[in-house]
Amino acid sequence: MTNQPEFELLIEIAKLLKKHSPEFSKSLAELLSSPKFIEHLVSVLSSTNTISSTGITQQIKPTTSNQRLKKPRSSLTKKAKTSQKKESQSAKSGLSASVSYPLFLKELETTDPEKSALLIKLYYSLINKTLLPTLQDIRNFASDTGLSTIKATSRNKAIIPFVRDLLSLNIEQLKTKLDGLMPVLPEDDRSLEAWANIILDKERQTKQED
Amino acid sequence: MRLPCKSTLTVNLAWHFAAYTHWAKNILVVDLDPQFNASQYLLGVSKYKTILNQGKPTTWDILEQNTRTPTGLSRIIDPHKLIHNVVTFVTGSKIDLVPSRLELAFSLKNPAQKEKQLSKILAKIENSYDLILIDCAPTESVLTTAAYLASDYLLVPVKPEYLAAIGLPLLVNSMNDFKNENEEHNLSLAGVVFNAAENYYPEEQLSKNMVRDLASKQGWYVFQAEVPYSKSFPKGAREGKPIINTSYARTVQKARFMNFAEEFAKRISL
Repeated sequence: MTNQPEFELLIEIAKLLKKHSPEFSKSLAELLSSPKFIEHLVSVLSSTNTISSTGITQQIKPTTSNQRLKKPRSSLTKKAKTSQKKESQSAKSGLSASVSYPLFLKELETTDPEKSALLIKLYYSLINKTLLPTLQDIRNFASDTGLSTIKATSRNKAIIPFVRDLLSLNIEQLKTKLDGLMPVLPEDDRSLEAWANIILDKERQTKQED
Repeated sequence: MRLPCKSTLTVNLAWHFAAYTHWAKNILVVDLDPQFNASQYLLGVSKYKTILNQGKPTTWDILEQNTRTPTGLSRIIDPHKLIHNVVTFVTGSKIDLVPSRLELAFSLKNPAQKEKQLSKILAKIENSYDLILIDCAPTESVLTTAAYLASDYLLVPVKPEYLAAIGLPLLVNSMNDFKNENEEHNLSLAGVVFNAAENYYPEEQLSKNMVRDLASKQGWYVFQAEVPYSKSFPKGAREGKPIINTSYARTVQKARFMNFAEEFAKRISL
């Protein structure tokens, strides 16, 4: 169960809450231990069928709880706010990927399963930012491969029109268009110092000296 | 199909055949160099460190699996535990890696009975891959013998320089010695490729002519396409990307590498 994306998402949300408002996270923890509250939460979640990639924030109504969340946020520095925004965006992406994909891709499953599978993989890769990680990347790719110009002003908004644009192509054309589209690997330390530490086995030597 | 070649070339060939949808191949890179450059290129520090810290098997373990130590009996390696997925593409193709480690150099000190281990273990997993690329240092040792035994083809990259060019007959000599000793093993020379070619005239041209003359006399294939010298190759290694995706890599250099990869594929009937 711990491997389920829903579970991972809940953990991520809990971490964010704890980070931004320790007091609120304490009272929330108490609330979550109440079976009545859990029951209510389950009924709310099961009544929601789909969550669109752009509609998550709109569904959260201002309640006493999230009004309380605003207070510590306002005291954050600009840099911290930016990182917070990035985190919340990645949380949104994770949610979309684990919950749903656009209806037109679902419909395609019955008529052209191979193309559907390819486009769904592409859609999730775009949502997770493992492909074309910036809006400019999507625009450049669309322009280089002769697709319609992307007019969307944000990357999130550009994904669905971009994938829909690929729908008109047959499987071979689609494969050709996606040719050479490289997944973005997670950024990693590649510094000489880090490699030198491994090669010189600095950590182990330090432990021995201790 | 398995064949040995150099680190940057190996990694870029792996990306080419896995990433382009007209290939979409499943590639396994085997790092058989104690300097572990291919592992560094493909994994980056933290992934590599995790492998070491978790004691996951590497090519060292393949060669040393039958070596008894004071701490216990030899351990037989499960081939699937050796494999680390580097990247999986939208089309389902992938690049996997069997990493190396510095201690592989110690296998050179005590090489007895180790050369067959690699081919035995690759035989168990080769059906999962369309191409297995083995990256090994050119100096003759138990590692090159292990690579030859595990390979169908040998790709020889040569820098078009006077001294590097002299290394070519030495390497082919080593392959011929191997073939004489292992008549039953069918190892072919896929060809000689000019690596890091800059078209610097006249020195580079003289070296290329020297290699071409020798190759023609010996019946060795020399690739028409050359792997160009480009700063984008080391930059790609730093960024963990192939040249086709390295930032600001010149289109002409990417095209030259692609030409080589396509010619190479034809040559080995991929």
